[in-house]
Amino acid sequence: MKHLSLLASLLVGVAMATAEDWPHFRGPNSSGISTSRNLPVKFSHEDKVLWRAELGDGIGSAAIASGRVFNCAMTGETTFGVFCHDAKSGKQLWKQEFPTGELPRITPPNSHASSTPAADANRVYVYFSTLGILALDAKTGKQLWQHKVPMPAYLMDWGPGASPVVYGDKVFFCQDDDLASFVLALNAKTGKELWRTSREDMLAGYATPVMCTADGQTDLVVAGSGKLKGYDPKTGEERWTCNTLLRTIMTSPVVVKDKIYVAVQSYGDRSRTLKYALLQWLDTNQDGDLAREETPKEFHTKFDRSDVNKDKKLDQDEIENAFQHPNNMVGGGNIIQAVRGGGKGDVTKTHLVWNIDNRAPSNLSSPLVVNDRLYVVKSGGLSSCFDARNGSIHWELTRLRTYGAYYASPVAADGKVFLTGRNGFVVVLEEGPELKILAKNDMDEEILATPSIADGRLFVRTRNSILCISNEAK
Amino acid sequence: MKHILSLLLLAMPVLAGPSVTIIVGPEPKPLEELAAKEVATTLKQLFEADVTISKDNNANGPTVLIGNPGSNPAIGRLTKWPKLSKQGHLLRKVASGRGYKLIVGGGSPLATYWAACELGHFFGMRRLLHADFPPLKKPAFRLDGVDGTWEPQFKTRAWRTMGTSPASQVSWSLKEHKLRLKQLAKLKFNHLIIPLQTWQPFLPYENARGKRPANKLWRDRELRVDGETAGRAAFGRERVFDNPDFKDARTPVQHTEAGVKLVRGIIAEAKRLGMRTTIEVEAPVLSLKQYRQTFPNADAVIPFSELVKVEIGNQKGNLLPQFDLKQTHASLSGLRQKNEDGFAVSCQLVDDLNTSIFYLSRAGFDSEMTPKRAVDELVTPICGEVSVRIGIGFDHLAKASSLINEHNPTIASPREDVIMRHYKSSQATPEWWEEAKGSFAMAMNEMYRANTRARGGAREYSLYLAKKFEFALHYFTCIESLRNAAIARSKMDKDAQLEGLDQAVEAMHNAMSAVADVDRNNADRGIIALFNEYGFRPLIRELEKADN
Repeated sequence: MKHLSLLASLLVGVAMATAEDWPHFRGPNSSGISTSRNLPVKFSHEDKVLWRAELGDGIGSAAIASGRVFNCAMTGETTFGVFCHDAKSGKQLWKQEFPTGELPRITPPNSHASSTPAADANRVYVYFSTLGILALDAKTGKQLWQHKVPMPAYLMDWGPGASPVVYGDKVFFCQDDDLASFVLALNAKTGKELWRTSREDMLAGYATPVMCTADGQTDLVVAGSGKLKGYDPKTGEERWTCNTLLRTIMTSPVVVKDKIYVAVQSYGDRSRTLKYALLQWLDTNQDGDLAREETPKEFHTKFDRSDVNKDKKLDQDEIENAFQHPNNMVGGGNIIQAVRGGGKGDVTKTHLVWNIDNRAPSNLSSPLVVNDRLYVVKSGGLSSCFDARNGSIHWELTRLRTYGAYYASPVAADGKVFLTGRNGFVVVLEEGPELKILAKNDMDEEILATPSIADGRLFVRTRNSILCISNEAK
Repeated sequence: MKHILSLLLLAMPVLAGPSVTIIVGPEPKPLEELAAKEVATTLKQLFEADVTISKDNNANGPTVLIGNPGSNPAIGRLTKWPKLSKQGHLLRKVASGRGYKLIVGGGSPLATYWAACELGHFFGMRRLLHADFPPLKKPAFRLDGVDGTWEPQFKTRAWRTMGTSPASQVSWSLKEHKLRLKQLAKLKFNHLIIPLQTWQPFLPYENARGKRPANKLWRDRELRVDGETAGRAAFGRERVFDNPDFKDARTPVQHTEAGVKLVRGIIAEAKRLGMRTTIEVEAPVLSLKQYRQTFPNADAVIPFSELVKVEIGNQKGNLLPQFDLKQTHASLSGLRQKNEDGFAVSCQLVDDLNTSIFYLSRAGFDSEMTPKRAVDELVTPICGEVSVRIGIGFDHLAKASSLINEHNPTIASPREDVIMRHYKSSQATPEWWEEAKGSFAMAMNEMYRANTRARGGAREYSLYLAKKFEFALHYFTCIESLRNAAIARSKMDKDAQLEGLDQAVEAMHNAMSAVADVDRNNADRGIIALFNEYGFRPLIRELEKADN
């Protein structure tokens, strides 16, 4: 966790998360790594359960700060709930509910409660598509502020899934959709928007912003369509771009020291730009053109702009640039790469440290880098591990034999790597260059959320519940 | 006449919230009351109407009259009643004073109820087996063209319920049966056949007369749900798959009590909805008497129903989604040629078969109904333009169904060796597997394509079918991979054998997960339970064995 302390020293802030907190998606700097020790290896929904609480449908993870565990859930068909539990006892400290209004279209298994909260000692920050970003008092749940953001729009109806992150006195939030992507920073105390930077060349994606400090420069790094970008956290100014990514970026990068690691699969090959996906799925009558009524109404303005001959149809040429930015016509594929942070302008040729084309990455589950090893897991329970220094293979596409989809990202602590499948199993690996499965733990319910770790406890957010797994359990 | 009722409704506010009075006769029969409620529900749901149900015929403003001159004299005073059979029903607008009134009536209370359902259909409401779906585009509150009279082409339109498989209607709770019966009644089915087996727990235990105690709904062994269950999200925290109404039954006596309660409940609900009920049980005369005593409300207890079966979907226990509307159309045409006046629909996986059931429902009153029209009439109101894709998807499905029926109708009929038998042969995979798999893939793609575009209820409709076709696609991948493993084993290629087995396990897992993503009734969960028992777990065991 050296990088975390470095980061902490660089960021001036109040109510900074402590080392044993897990302040937002995937913990400190969204790394998936905790300094916790004495985590159970073998456990289940009945064994080593310190406490358990029913929440409601949700796929966001728990955030933990100052001994409080924060979760979001759908507590009614159109009611969004935020929960606070005592991390040790599981006692519910408070619960706040908000009417959502009319919900956007989503595609299963996405949930309307898809976002992971961010938290510090004073506040918890939550995002919900129809409500925007809310800050609640960490002790009481009282709403402190609300910052509305535009509802995201997705050509394929995937639905919202972005999560806020908190660093010091700022809350950052990136919303990459197919309509008007942006990243913004809010004052954590007041909710005042400090800056908002358009990401107009992005398509829908779900990468969480991370911080990277290199050569004395700290950047807010966001992965998106085709490009990994670094922003000045104070102003939102785009400092650099590394144009080495793929079309659809649903995984988040991780940072170790001055390196940023990305592992992602985007459907199709390098030539499969968005046009082909649109013609496959949105061209209802399969005539090779995209009619106005074949696109969701949120996109009609964009549509009209590209409909040069005004025939209410986009032909193959018109589709090309209608929704995908002309300067960012990237396609699919598989990549694992390391990019050196820092720099100015286009760093594509100067900062890409290594890049491999390997089928190992998932389109959904983010990579984990610990002790110079990069772990990925994908659908089918196929696990792989690479040397983070050069991309060489420790093992690749090896079956864990816990099957099905893997939405959750790996997390690590205490010399172990935790891989969580949608099938409800948490597989524990020994952290090391050889695949060694220590346990396969059955949590008895579907899991899409990445587990959280703090103070020697593993928090597993299943589809409807939160379970605290700990050796403290009797 | 077309414009007359629109004039009636000119008196009503054009925008949401018209006030409508529904007039029933002085002593309405329960089915006429149900008809009034159905009309009220439709008007409220589609037009946010403020509806009053009344026996007082002096209401001003928009009025709907329920019944016939016999049950509701106001109707007789308003119009000359046409000659209708007991099943005949009509929707008719009639001039009255300054405005117009709408008559929703029939030759019997049951037919009146069907007329009420027909009004919903007119406005685009579509009845699927699990729910009503309002039209995608909210209709205008106008009744132009609403006039119509319907007489049955087939007097008996029966539904065969229950079954002997966990993936059949016998796994449904009474609550599920009630929901489906309600929908079937709206689709104008008028007869419920309840086939029972003597070994099933539907006769009081003390009446079993020393014979083997009847206490199982199906012959399969206990179907457990645990960490080794693919698609277990469908089961919540249940540990064993069962009919939910039998969950607490431990002893044979308790099983039989639960069984009797279930069948009595089904009969009561069917009768409430105006259906005739027949228990069909192949049993000695003495036992038939016992069944009659146990279920005195059944209209008949017989060893065999002579009603001609119209079989939709696979009839060999195959659990892959299969239907072919053209085949169903041919069956019905055959019945017409033979002057049959009734049919009994036999099917297993009802939610796969909404389109076929809709076709049968409409064709029961309309000799001109065609498969294409049925798809258009069912799908277009609730799905809009995507109905074209759905129709194309059904064509691909029909091709897959035809291949299965031609080559191996039991390819996915769950039993001990349903999957592992493909590991016994090292012959190349049959060509038709590839073809059927391809057809399922194309059918699935069309449903996903429709789903991406769909809005409202149509999303649920197309997603369910997409996932069911995905299940079939993965199923074929599973047996293909398993056969590849067997071929590799015969060549002593251990790595390829293990990879084939791994892929087969993964495919079966994905197949079960696809069903679990959309499971809509307990029979869907039965599919998952069965293929875990006879597919997923044997595959896991074989993989472990091969890996040691």
